Amino acid sequence: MNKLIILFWFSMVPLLIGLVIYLTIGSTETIIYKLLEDLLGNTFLTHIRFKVQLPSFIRFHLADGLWAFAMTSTLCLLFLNKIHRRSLLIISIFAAGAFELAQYFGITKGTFDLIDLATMLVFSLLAYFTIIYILTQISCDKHYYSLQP
Amino acid sequence: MRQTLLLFTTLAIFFVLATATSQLEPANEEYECTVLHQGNDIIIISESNQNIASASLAIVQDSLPGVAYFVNAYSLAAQATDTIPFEDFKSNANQTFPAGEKPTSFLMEFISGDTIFSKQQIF
Repeated sequence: MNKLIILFWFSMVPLLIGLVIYLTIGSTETIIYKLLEDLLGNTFLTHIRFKVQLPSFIRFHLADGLWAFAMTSTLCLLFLNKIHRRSLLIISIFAAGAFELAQYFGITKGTFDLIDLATMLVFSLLAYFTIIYILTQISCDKHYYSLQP
Repeated sequence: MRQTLLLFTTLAIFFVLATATSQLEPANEEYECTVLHQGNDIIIISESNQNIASASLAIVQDSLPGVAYFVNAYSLAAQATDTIPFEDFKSNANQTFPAGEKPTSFLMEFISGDTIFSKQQIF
């Protein structure tokens, strides 16, 4: 499997799902919502918004988890054989938590939330081990096929 | 060096994406109305299509420094007029506005949606 295909499924797709969550069930007072409202018009965005009340985890935390998942996947795909695995894991987790901590210290806008932080850590770990597993499998397959006559 | 640059660029891109989903600061807007004091009353004449709900009103008299008198949870329909007696304004010590005095300034503040509406008036 090509690394670009993995990047698409493990980075682009989670980010797109996160964007859909923000646009359909998230707050309408976000930078991205206002930007797309200017570009696409209010009618379209109002039309696609969910009319049903989804569980709070999906509404408030899933998009953050998917963002952390996409970031860790991208970092792993780009740097797995270039940075020590343990360092890569630390950078991924630190980067995922840094944005939430930046909110706590008032560096960025938003509200610090421990559930957000925990969700990001879980999704980062999930992405890290999944990507390592997939890349190891690909590496084993390549090695197996190279031994075939 | 190239790897470090690529690492920081990747992180920066993801941080920009995360910032794009941040909540915007509430907007501040001046509430359109005329505020008068007549006798022992404050008169609010709304010129706005915005309903006032849970507003905080305050009046201050310059001769009484550091003391403000409030009306909390004030409501008024859009384009309506209301008369509020001075005696409805209470200080933190639950004292009413002194009889015979006239307020020198008035402040109203309330939140509607993601906008903070305010009106400041110097008499």
